[in-house]
Order: sequence, then structure tokens, then C-alpha cells
Amino acid sequence: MEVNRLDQSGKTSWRATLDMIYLLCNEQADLSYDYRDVNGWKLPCVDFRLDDPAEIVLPRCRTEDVDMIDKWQTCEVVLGDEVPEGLCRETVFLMQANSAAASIYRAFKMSLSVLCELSLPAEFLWSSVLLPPLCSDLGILLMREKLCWEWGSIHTIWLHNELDESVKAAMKHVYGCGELRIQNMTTANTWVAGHVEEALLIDTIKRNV
Amino acid sequence: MTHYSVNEAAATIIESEILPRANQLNIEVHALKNGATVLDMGIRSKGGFRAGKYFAEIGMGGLGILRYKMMKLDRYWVPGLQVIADDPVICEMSAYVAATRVRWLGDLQVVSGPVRAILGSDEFARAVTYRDPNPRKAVAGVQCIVLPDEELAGSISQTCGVRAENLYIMAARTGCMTGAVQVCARNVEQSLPTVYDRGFSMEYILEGNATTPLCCIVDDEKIAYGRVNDCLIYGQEANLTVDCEDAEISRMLEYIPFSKNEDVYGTPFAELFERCGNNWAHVPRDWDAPCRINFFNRRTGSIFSTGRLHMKALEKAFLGNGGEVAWK
Repeated sequence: MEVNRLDQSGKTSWRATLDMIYLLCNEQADLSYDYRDVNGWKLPCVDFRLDDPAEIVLPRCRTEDVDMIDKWQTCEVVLGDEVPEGLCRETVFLMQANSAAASIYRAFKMSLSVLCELSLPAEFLWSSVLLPPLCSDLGILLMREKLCWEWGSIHTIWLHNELDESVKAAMKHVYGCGELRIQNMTTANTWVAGHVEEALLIDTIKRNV
Repeated sequence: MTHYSVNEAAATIIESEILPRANQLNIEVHALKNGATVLDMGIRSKGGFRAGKYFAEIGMGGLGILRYKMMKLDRYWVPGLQVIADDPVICEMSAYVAATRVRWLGDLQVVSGPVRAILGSDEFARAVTYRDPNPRKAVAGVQCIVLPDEELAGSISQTCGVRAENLYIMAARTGCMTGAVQVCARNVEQSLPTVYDRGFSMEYILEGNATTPLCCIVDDEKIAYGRVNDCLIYGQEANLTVDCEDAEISRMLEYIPFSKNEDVYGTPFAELFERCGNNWAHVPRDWDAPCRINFFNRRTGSIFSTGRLHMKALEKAFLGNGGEVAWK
């Protein structure tokens, strides 16, 4: 078994985390870090551009003691301190739940969950998710991630559908994921739900939520 | 000094990065009877972000980098891209500019890519001294709706001076992800011929980079064509580092950007194209103009800027007839 340890000794494995996500996407993605100017603060974000998002299957997830284990098609991802017994994939990625790698990984899974909730076959996806300031307190980090997700993430999905009304109806099932835009390549129209709340986001984070 | 071959560099990217995993990149590879190889990056094949990036970077002869980047319009962050050109004159004028015309299907097909540099097969390729004679392989790019065949390969071969069996042809429709990306990546590309037309020496240009919003990907070829051109004429912003007298720049500023066409500025390109019978031959040269160029003069330290983005036109290109959907 090959164990890839990310974010060890407090150091962030930015590149290795993207490499991991690239593997989870069956290497059918263009991934990058960027930044967005959020009300005067340049905050980092991660951008996932997927060429075949419909082919990526969300992992089966299980929890053992305090560890969370995600079983993907090609590997397993463990959020914890050590690799638990009984893993069956040859490749394992291990990271602590309050690390930057874990935060980026959760952003990726959330982006995929948008597609699941939309329930329409997507041709392409571009998700841009703001990354929260890290905090060793996992509760605070998760709350910041939630804020970044709901107020700072932007998802553009390209799909084919004869009826814009069907697209609009489907979008109503996906609530609270920042700004969701669906570009219907059949009708040449783009529909937008939600919006980013950048000022509110940075103010809330500054109050150390 | 060692000769840098734009065709060799482009072919190497194809052979080392595309051919071994074409299927994974949503690219189909076709061998033609005359020996040419067609890379379908978005005609029958799906293509995508990665195929679009390859189309542009290969088209620039390995001298340009394309990276994707979200861009802010007034109300929306939209998908966008940035091109950085190492040697913009060779990268664009000798390679990426779409300017060589060849016979195909009873009409003229525009060809871009490093293949133009072999003989200098059009006026923009001939505007620079660089030539790429006798490359092992050569690479062409075409924006078309029909898969390239032996006739097109033969025409390119004859016009550009390369044997068909040594030719790679990249092809994509405008109405697909690859097509939209490779057209929107024509930002530095659009700027250089424009300043060349105004008598600005290509030897003055040291460095170039530019951004373009990637507002829209749609199936309908005509709509797609209009929208990607909206992205260029209303959303592209190029930075050119130059070395010349300031007067060389200032004399041409008012003649460069699309906004000089005050009577039509803000009109969707599809509408303008319609007025020209949907034929580039009838499009005034002034309408094929960049949105905005910033000049940074290394010799004097002066900075000049001309043109302006048109947010409303870009928002229209992004939304089409769509709009906001209330969540609750």
C-alpha cells in the first residue's frame, strides 16, 4: 500500500493536494489555485475545471472512531492521524481534518455534490471556491469553510437541455452553494441562482467565526 | 544561436502529451489517406478545457502559456483566460495568427498555427523575418464545422510548403469548449496585426500578455461565433511591453481599439456580422479590432492605454436571453 501523507508537520502540500484531486478526477481536469479580491482582501481560491464531471462518482464514506475514510474508484482518502486497518485500495491519501489539504479536498467534494443535487447531466464544470483561513480548531475551520462555500463559491455548469424551464426548475433544488450558473448550450442562455456575498464573508471571518 | 522551431515544439507537444492519451482528453485522432494526421478537438469529439488549452499553446508553437482565470464583470465573475507570450512576435505573427487562406470545399479556409512560419504563407507571417524551414513535422489549426480531409491537408501542404504526411491538423468548431477557448485566446494575437497595420514595427515588441472573458459556449455555430467575438472586441485587454520612441505609440492610439467605431460600439458582433452577409471578406478591417491595449514602453518608462471594455455587451454575451433564477 502506498500512503501519501499530506500536510505533515504543519506544512501545506498545495501541489500534492491538487495532484490527489487530479487523480480523483480520473485525470480529466484542469486544476489551479488563484485568488479573488474579496472586499479588498485577496483570498486564495481553488478552481476545478472538469471535462467529464458526469463520470466522477462521489466516494463511499465511512467513519471509524474519529477518522473519516472516503473510498474512491482509484484510491482511499483518510482524514485522520494514522492509516486505519483494513483499507483495500493500493493508494491512500492521509491528512488531518484541520489541514489545508483537507479543506481543499472538502471543497472539491462539495463541488461534485452540486452536480448530484442538480440531477441534470453536466458536460463541463468550473467551480471556484474561496479557501478559508486555517485554524487548528476544526469547528472554526468548518464554519469558515461553510461561509466560504455559501457566500464565496461560484459554479458554472455547461449542459444540454431543450427546455430552459427544466434547467431553472432543477436549479431550485441546489440551494446555498454560492452562485450557481448554468449555461445551456442548446438554447444559448445562462441562468444564475444565488450570488456571492463578499463583504459579508470577510466581515464575518474577521470576527473570528 | 540555435534555431527554435515552432513546428518542432508544437509537434513534440502533440506527440508526447496528446497522442498517448487522446481519448482521455476527448480528442479523436484520424489518419488521412495522404498521410496527414487530424486531431479532432471539437468537431465530432467533445474536447474541453484541456483540449482548448492545448489547441492554443500548440498553435503558439510552444511559446505561449494559457491559464484559466475567473474575471469580474460588473455583476458577475465569469470564466476567463490569460495568455502570456514569451516571444510574442514569433508566437503570434509567425504562428497563432489565423491568416493563411487555402482552398477547401469550393471556398477559402483560414489556417492558423506554426505551419505558416515555414514559408511565411501570409502577409502577417511575412511581416517578421523568422522562418521555420524544413521542420520534421508541421502543425496547422483550423476553425471549421467539417472534419478536415485529404483535400484540406493537400491545400495546406501545397500553400505552406510541407509534405502532407508530415502535417498535423488541429480542428474544432467555434460552438464547443475547445473552439471558444482557442478563439478567446486570440487576444495578443489580435493586437499584433492591428498595430502592424498601423505601421508599428514588430521589432519594437518585447513581451505580450492578455486576458479575455470566456463568456459563452453554445452549440449553435452562428451564435457561438458572435459571442466569442464579443469576448474579444468588448472584453479583451492586452499588455504589450515595447521599446521605441513614445511618438511611435501615441500616433496610432486612437486608431487601434474597437471603440473607435462609435456608431456600432456595443452592438453584438453577431448583428454586425449579419450586416456583412456573414462573410469576413465584407467585414471592415476596423471591426476586427482589439478591445483594449496597454503599452509599456521600456525605453522611456511611459505607459499608454487605448480602448475600453463594454460590460453590458459582455453581460449580454454571458447571459443570452437568460437571467436570474430566484432560489427562495
